[in-house]
Formats: sequence, structure tokens, C-alpha cells
Amino acid sequence: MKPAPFEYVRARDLDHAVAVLAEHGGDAKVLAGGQSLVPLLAMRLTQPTALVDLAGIDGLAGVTDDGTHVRIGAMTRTRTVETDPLVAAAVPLLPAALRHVGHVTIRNRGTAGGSTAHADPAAELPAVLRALDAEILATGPAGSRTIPAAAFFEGFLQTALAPDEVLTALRVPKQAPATRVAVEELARRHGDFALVAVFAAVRLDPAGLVAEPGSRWPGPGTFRCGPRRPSNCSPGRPRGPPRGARRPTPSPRPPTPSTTSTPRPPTAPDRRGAHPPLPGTGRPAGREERRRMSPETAATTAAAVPVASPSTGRRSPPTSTRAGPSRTSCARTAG
Amino acid sequence: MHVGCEHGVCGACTVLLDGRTARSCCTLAVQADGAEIGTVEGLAAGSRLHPLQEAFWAHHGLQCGFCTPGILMTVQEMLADNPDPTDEEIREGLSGNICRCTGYQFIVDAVREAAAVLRADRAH
Ligand SMILES: Cc1cc2nc3c(=O)[nH]c(=O)nc-3n(C[C@H](O)[C@H](O)[C@H](O)COP(=O)(O)OP(=O)(O)OC[C@H]3O[C@@H](n4cnc5c(N)ncnc54)[C@H](O)[C@@H]3O)c2cc1C
Ligand code: FES
Ligand code: FES
Repeated sequence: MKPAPFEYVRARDLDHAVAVLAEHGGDAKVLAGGQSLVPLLAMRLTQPTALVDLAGIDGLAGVTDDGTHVRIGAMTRTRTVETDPLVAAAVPLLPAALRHVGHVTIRNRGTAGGSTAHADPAAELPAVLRALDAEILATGPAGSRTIPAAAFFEGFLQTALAPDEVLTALRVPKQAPATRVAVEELARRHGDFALVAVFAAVRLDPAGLVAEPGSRWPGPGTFRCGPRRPSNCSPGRPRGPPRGARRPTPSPRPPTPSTTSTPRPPTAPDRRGAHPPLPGTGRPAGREERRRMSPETAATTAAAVPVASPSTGRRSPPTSTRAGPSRTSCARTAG
Repeated sequence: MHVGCEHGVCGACTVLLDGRTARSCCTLAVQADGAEIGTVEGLAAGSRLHPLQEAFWAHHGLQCGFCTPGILMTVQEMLADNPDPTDEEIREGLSGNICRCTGYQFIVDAVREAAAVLRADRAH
């Protein structure tokens, strides 16, 4: 597997990057962490005339406090965002979601800007950006602009970015204090793109009662996600079982909601071994993830699971770096 | 260092790039310009095997050995981040590295022992 020939340009600064992109009239591509782009190049699924590497541009990486928002530079590595203390305190949904992105090795190289610009419908970061009404900052020949996440993600691998625009940063609103979050994914193995994902956020008042269970279930683009308030999670209700209480027994199969019809995709993992299980366990990873949740989030999320259902039987298009049935990401926030 | 899938999935090509693991198949050489690269060859001190290598040897953590260089790089980073992982954390940390021979259990055993040896080394 060898890429088709291309010109490589290490951009000196943002103006240089934009100028090279404009010069190539839509045939050049930005190179960030390369974790999606390099495999696509190797398989010749994309054949740009030039790659514009952003790695040499000062000031594109880093997490900063921006008042009501957290600002994440486009070249900030996913692993850096995931482990950043400011992000953990201000936007707990982000680290909870990002630890599901591939593996540590992928997150060491992949960038926040790259995942956003790539806009894989099963990707965690775009779903969080949609859920929290984040803003995406971009610079092109006509200057800089701010795009709300709701307008940014247009569909499968499609965004509002023009071919000669560079995504420079994300502005993510801080979540209210005392917001509890939970992210649960069902995947063939830990680190695979999710078959089903549910993101939940609940704000508790000082007495530990549910103050705000969140109101939206956005997903980036084309699949079924909708708002649903779990019945045990309306305002004024105590949060699920107290800490230390017995958790609901995890179901041995991926949860199949009774309220919606969600047949297992035809290519769903055969747990007798046709697909690789979580190494050494023989179990799909979803159950592992469930075990790690605290009782109160388990209660909330368990109630939320019926909301997200895999769109049945649709296969990943060939441009994806991963094979498998189609996947769904949802998020719920306290905002 | 080995090359398997060439699209980021198998982990066989994992190296250290400026101290953090990276898939070499998803990294253009020019992106590594000026960076420090570490491979499995750098683990042993001369003829003395690294505790990780010793543990993999003792516990039969490899059979054909194709996945091993990538797994050793991954585990080295895992143990640097988390010197005392649970078995579940070890399995999660290995989930990006495919081994077609061992069934993983011996790898998990080897990592558990290597972690204990490295913790003891550090304590001295
Ligand atoms: C084995 C494996 C498993 C993975 N699992 C997951 C997963 O579970 N969840 C998940 O979300 N992702 C997953 N990924 C994808 C990973 O998160 C990528 O890092 C990410 O999608 C792209 O980020 P990047 O920085 O590597 O971008 P690149 O690969 O460099 O670029 C991706 C695309 O975005 C464009 N682009 C990048 N940066 C900019 C910018 N600043 N401005 C304009 N355009 C830009 C590029 O031109 C290209 O089209 C996985 C990848 C691998 C190899
Ligand atoms: S060769 Fe498989 S991940 Fe690089
Ligand atoms: S030892 Fe053969 S692939 Fe792991």
C-alpha cells in the first residue's frame, strides 16, 4: 500500500497554509495527526496533489481557559485533551468520551482539529461538539469565521469547511458545576468505533437531587438520535441508587430496548469467536465499560440506552478506515 | 519493528516517537523529522534483557513473535502511565495490538509480572 505521489508542504504559518490550499484549488489536503488521512492515502482512497502539514505552525496546539468556554487548538493531540486538568474540570464529557477514541497510541497522534474536520459520523469528538453547542473556528483566504457545531457537521465526512480553510480551534462551553456525565459504548473491542454510543449528563443540586437531566440528543448528521428523558431522571428526583448500592445486574447481551425495535445488525459480533473479543476475555467491551461506571451514572445511562439504536444493517462505506456495521453516537448534556 | 495491516489497526508497527507510542504505518517519515524514535531494539541494555522482555520470555508471552515488538512498545508506555494496572486495564491497554498466536492470557501474565518487577526496581 503506497500513496499516489503528492507534494508535501510544511506550512510556516496559517497564511502560508491557506495560500497553498487556495493555490491547489481544492486538490490539496491539510495533514494534522495523519491517523485518518495516512491510511486513506495508503489505500489511495484519497489522492490529493499536496499535503499541507500544520505541525510546524506555532500556537495551533494547546488548551486555554476562555471564560465561559474552553478553547482547544486544532493541533492539540486527542490524548492531551483527554488528560488535561482544565478540560476534566470544565467539560467532563470530553475526557469521558475521548477515552473511547481508538487506543492511546492513536490518541497520542490524532488531533482535536483532525477528528472534527474528518467528521466521521461514529467519532466521539464531533458528537460531543454537537451535544454541547461548541463553536469551530476556521481561517481561509477571506479571513476567520466562527461556525456553530450544528451548522458545521453536514453529513458523512462532510463539513462546512471550504477546501481552502484551516480549522484553527474549538470553543467548547463549560458544563455547569456538579454535572455528572457518563459515556457508554458498545464496540467489538475496546477502542473500535462504537456500534452504539450513549452520552449522558445530569446536573445534581446540592441535596443530590436531579436538577437538570439534559435536553438534547444530538449526533453528527445522518443517524437517528433524539431527546429522551429517562423516566427515573426527571428534575427533583433523587439520582439513582446511592453509592455502594447493588448495581443493576449487567445484561449478558448488548441491551435490546423493549420500546424501540433494534434488531442486531447482521454483522454484529458473534461472541463465540468469529470476531476478536476484548483480548483474553471473550467478552465484548460494552460490558467492561458498564462495570466501570458509578452506580448513579449507571442508573441514568441504563435508562437512556433505548434512545440510541444502530441503524440496522448499514455497512461502513469504503472510505472508513475500519470495517463493520454502521454506528451511532449520541450525547446528552446538562446545558 | 514489523508491519502488518498498514492502516493503523494491528499495532505491529508501534514505535516510540518523542517518548510516546505512535503507529509508524500512519506516520509519514517527514512527520518524524527531528523527532527521537524508539523501537524494540532499544529495550535491552546490551545483552541484558529489559524486565519486560524477561517477563515475556518467562511467561511465553510470544509464539511467532510478529506482534511482540509493537506490544512491548505499547506495554512500556502503559506501565509508565500506570505502574500498577489491573488485569482489566492491561487488557484494555493491549486492545490496539492484535496477536494471532497467544490468546493474550500469557501476555497479560507477562505484563503483570513485568509491572511488579519494574515497581520493585523503582522502589530501590
Ligand atoms: C485504529 C484506529 C482507530 C480509531 N478509532 C477511532 C475511534 O474510535 N473514534 C474516533 O473518533 N476516531 C478514531 N480514529 C480516528 C482518529 O481519531 C483520527 O485521529 C482522527 O479521525 C483524525 O485526526 P488526525 O489529527 O489524525 O487528522 P488527519 O488524519 O491528519 O486528517 C483527517 C482529515 O481532516 C483534515 N484536517 C485535519 N486537520 C485539519 C484542520 N486543522 N483544518 C482543516 N482540515 C483538517 C485532513 O485534511 C483530513 O481530511 C481511529 C483511527 C485509527 C487508525
Ligand atoms: S501495521 Fe498495523 S498498525 Fe501499523
Ligand atoms: S505471537 Fe504470533 S502474533 Fe502474537
